[in-house]
Amino acid sequence: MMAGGWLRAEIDLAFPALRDATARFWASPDLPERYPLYLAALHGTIRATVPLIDAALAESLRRPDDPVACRLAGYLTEQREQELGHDAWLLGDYAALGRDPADLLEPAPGPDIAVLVGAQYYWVLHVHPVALLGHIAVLEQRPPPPDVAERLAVRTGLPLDAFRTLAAHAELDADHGAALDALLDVLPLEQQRRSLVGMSALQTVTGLVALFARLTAAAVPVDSGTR
Amino acid sequence: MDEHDPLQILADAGLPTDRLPPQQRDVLATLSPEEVELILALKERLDAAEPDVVAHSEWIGGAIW
Repeated sequence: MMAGGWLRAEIDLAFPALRDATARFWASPDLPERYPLYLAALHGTIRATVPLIDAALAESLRRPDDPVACRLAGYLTEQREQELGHDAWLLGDYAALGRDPADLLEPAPGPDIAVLVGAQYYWVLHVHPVALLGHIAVLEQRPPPPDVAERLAVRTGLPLDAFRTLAAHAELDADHGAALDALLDVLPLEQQRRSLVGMSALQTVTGLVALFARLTAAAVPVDSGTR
Repeated sequence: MDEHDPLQILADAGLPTDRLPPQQRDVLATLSPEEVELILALKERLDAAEPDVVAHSEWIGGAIW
């Protein structure tokens, strides 16, 4: 089985549901008007990435006799460095659309985002920080194609600078996914912990499906000022 | 007594578990009831999927970001 195979095998069974949900969104005929909603939603999740890693790291460090937590702490320390500032990228993308990034900072993100991120906090704080690996796996094991930004810019007519977050993840997530696979291969996970990671991954798929369904169905103003 | 049989539950729901690679079946055979429940909930969405929509956006994969 390939690296990180057991978790990939589990996610693979559910991933077509997410692929369908994201495909519907990216195929939207009014994608230029809808894209700001995507940036707003993603900002709601990405701004929680480093705090969530911090929470998992703190929980890991509280367990010095736990071999899983010890290995996890090293991984999370590196992961934290690589995730710093990604929320600012999204604000930059939003500004490239001619919009005010403050629009993303003031309103409270919706319940679908709170569920997507909040479930991780629960499992990290109340069960075991290794749960976060399932969430990270779904987000980073399947990066978009390298030319995703260019193709979206052509297709939508929006500035290329509005897709920098997507472009960066297309480049970075291949390495991030490999690092996670390597960790999963050496973590001494008992079945109960494996199930926790798997549940976290599947809950993340479920949450993202709901999020993208909302983004696809949401009403958008005819003249939203994005072009 | 453990009567939990993830592969059978998934197969009964219409997932083609008999066509999956043996290694993937081995993993799925160890799923907890909660994991199976999550997959079954997603299965309903898969049944409603329109293949042409996915095919149309094949170039972007399952891009989340």
